[in-house]
Amino acid sequence: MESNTQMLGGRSGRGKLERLSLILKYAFRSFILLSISAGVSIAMARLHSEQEHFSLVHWQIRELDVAGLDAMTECVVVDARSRQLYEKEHISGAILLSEESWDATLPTFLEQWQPERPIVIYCSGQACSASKRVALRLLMDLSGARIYVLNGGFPAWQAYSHNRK
Amino acid sequence: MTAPLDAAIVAFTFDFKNNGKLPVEFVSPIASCGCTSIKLDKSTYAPGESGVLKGTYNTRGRRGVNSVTITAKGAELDAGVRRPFSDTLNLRVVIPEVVKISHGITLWRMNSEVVAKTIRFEVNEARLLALKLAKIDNKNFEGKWKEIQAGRIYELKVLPASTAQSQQAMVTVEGMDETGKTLRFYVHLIIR
Repeated sequence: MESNTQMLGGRSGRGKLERLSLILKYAFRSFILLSISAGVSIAMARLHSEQEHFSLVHWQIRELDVAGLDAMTECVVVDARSRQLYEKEHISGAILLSEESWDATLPTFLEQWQPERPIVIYCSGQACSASKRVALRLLMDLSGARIYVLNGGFPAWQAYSHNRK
Repeated sequence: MTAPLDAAIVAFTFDFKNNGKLPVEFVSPIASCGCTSIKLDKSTYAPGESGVLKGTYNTRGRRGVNSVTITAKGAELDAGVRRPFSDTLNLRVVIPEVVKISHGITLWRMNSEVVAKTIRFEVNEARLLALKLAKIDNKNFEGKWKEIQAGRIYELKVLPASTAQSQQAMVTVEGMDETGKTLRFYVHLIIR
């Protein structure tokens, strides 16, 4: 019995060692995997930091239809298309604020803007992204501003104006 | 695709192949942004024939992740009968900033406490750029320029003399690149 106990005790000691080494092995593997995933996450975060920042403020942009714009009494209407398209035709009273000429057009916009005045931004239609991009840039600096993107953009406004006549 | 730092125009291509059994004829593809111009070498492609849609993207004023949808419309030519089709391609261009500015527009509310605000300028890690404060075009604002890390990180602390009136100013920051070209960056200060 004694020798059996000793034998069992010896087996149990080896078992503990094996278990310990197994635990250490898994812990080491987990550490390596965690380090790799942390490294990948940091790299991804660095690569897409701007995109993430954009997505954080993206939810603050609201959409507005043309009838909603027509009903608004106090707002700043922003044309996010190119200068060429703006000069050809734009919504009456709209201010040009395009990414292409951001620093040149921003002062005029800022002169018109008051914190309590909502901003309505439009571009060339449903497929264009310029209005959303301008909205995002403004939101990043003018936190708390009420910013809307016009559904359907300039073509929708043209159709609405035409139907009203 | 990621645009090279400072690139004004970025070229791109889309390869395609007519996998159908009929020749196809394209009308000019249309991009959702005026910043993108595209062209095809020719309009008609035989079955099995490959082609390349070439284009350029104008990065001017843009930054970050930019998406453009390109719509390629055309028709399959079936013994004089045209069967129209439409395909869309998605172009994604990441435009790195030479200098990242923490607050491109810095706002004080009217009649709020007169406090200094700090604007941080971080030069893209791909280059070194010695920046300096060139001008603040409104005397109501006083600016203190500080180099945090040579060629990399700078801070501008701006203090308005008063917030009692609606005002605005433009801050110009200048730097010279390796080729001796002067680069200018702007911050807009407003009291509203």
